[in-house]
Amino acid sequence: MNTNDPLILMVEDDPLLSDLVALKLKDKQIPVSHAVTGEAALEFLKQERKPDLILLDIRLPGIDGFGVLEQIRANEATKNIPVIIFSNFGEESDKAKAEALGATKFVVKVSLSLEEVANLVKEQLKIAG
Amino acid sequence: MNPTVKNRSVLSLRNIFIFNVICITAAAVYIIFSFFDRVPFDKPIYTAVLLFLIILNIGSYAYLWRQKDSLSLSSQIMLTVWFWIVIWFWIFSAPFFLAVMNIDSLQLRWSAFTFIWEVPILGGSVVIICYYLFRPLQRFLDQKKEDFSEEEAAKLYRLSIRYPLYVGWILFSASVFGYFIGALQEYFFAAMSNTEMIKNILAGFVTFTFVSLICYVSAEYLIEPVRTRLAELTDEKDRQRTRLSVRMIFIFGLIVAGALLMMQLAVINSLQAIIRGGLVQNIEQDVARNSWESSAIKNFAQFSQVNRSNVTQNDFSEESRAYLMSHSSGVIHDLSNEPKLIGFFTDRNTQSKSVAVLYLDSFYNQVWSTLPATLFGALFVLFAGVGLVMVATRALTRSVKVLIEGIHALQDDPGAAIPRLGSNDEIEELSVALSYFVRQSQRADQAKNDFIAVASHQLRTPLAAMKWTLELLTQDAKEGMQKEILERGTSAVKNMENIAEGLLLSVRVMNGLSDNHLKEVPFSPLLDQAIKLVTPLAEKKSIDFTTSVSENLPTIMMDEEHMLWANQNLLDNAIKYTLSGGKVSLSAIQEGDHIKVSVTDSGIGISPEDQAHMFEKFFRAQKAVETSPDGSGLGLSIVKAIIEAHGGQIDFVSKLGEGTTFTYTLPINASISKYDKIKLS
Repeated sequence: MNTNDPLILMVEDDPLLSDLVALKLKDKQIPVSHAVTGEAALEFLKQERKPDLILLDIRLPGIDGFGVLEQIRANEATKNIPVIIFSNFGEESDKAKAEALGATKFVVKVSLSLEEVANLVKEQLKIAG
Repeated sequence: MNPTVKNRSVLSLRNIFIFNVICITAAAVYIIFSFFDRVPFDKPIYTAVLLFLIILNIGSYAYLWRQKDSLSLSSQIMLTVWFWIVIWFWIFSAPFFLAVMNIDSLQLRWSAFTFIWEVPILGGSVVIICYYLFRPLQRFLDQKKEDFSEEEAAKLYRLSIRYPLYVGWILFSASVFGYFIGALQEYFFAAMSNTEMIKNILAGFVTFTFVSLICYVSAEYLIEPVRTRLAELTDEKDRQRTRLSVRMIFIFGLIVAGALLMMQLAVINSLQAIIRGGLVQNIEQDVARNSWESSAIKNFAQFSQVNRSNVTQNDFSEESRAYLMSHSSGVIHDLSNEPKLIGFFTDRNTQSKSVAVLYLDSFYNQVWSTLPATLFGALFVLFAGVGLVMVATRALTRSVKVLIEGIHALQDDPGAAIPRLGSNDEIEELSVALSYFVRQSQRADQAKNDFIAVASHQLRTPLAAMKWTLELLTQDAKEGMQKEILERGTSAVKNMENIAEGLLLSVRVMNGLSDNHLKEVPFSPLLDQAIKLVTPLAEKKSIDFTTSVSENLPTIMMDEEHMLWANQNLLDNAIKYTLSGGKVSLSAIQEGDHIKVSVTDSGIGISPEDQAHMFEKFFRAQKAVETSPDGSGLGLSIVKAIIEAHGGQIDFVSKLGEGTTFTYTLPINASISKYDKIKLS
């Protein structure tokens, strides 16, 4: 893996969903790292190589997505990483909370196709078509 | 011919009526003959005549009532009113009259005659008026429900509320009139004394207030089934409710008046008896002392001494003379029909029986002079009584009114609470019980909404997994059978997603618009956004999609997400149910203080049978299912809920095979507070 290649971290407790996203993004030559819990995600972020984009679910075992986001933004080393909240709860209150904590974007998983997920990621990473 | 049918026709309403008329006329003729001393007439004969007529009438009524169901409403009312008139005037009023009145034979004949002619003539007029009064309602019963518009039904419903009261009032007026005529007859032809006249009129008042009341209640009872039928056709708001307080005041007023009049009657009667007794005693004592001139009674009565054996034909009628011979005291009438009080005594000097006669006119004047005070007292008691009843009734109905308002508020806003009454009575108990059930139902409703919301959320993760899996598989699948099946699977998953999303949205809309979602949103850009979202779909089906949105539509206070969804859904449907190459158009204009949006398509249209159900949850028209199998049937119900939550209205016109136009209007200036109240049931 080239260090210039973009790196994505997907924090998702459903392995099938993250595998599907990874498979799709693999087509587009975008590698995806995967964390199942909030704690694992925070552990991952301690690495030298920081991800270029984080897809973050809200409902997670242990620390939830909001907690993870809060810590990402509190940490000098990670506070500038774009975070897309990738949830199945699209209530206004969730959106408002995510925005207040500094989420870059808020999407409801089920409303997107895999193609749209891929486009969204590319758009964030500023990779053309 | 069937013999039973023939038999029945002999006892028809008409024949029974004729038979009754003949019997009553015969009784009246008998009394007329008695005036000329052609036939005997006294209290026992009168009682027998009354008894005969009562049995005849009750028998006829009972027979006809058995076939009640085959009788028209008008006939039922007519029969019942007649029945009560007979019962009250012949069973109660006539014997009551005989019991309390001091009348001689001539007066008895006249009063009997009055009772016999007045009841059929006036009562007959009343029942005929009632018969015609109820004809409009009868026509309603005779015709099919469908022939009546809601407006006509509402009008008839209002009539059905008023008619029983009319029956009461007509009867009341007729009785007052009848008693007036009767009193004139007694006064002019039978020389009824003034005190007896007052008693007669008071007894009359008691009778006809009660007969009117009982006829009113009977008419209410008979009309109830018709009213229920009418109520089914009438919108609840158009119904005029019978006011509990009006009824109570009416009934209590009658009771107070009745009690008052009975009291009057008793007072006057006993006054008469006391004075008469006292006077006779005085006469006897004074005459015994042989000191007529010094008598106290001289102050208010003229008297003369007549030797019992010398009672002449010139002074008294045959009847009075017979009375004088056999009684020791009483009231009689002389030949000029002047009432006189008589008392007998044995003259101490001559030892012969003598009669003292007092002319009562001056004494009656004394009674008359107390009349203003009596009337004043009576009126005071009447008004005070009715006033107290009104206060009591208002106290009662006020709580009921608060309760009714609370229930109405609940119809507009299912989240509202039943107000606390604080009246500390049975009605408050009722309100507490009602509050309990309302809260239970609100909780159940909330639990249902929460359940749907959670279930729909939970479905999202597996749905996303299925959707994405199918997407990846389809992407790599070979053209042909495999790909087609995968695409059909994708479509099924998409449908499931729509259902889950629809349920979630409907729960959100049902929970009401919350303030923090409401903001001022310019309407034109919102529509542009919806147009943009559906344009690819229209292009894919090569549908001629035209839009005409006024540029400067005003901003509207709204839940933007919901409103966008509603517009998108209307357009989506129009495109979905229009075949390739068809036309879909959207127009939005401002009309006064409303925005009017129409979505027209040249699609499959909606059959007349399906049109009534279009806004029902999960309803899908037959044609729609054939054209596009993957629909949830939730969309339009939610669209309607959203538009109505914003104070608007939605409707459609459609012709099967030609197309449909959905049109909704939204008020521009609806205030936020109005939104708070509008929630969905």
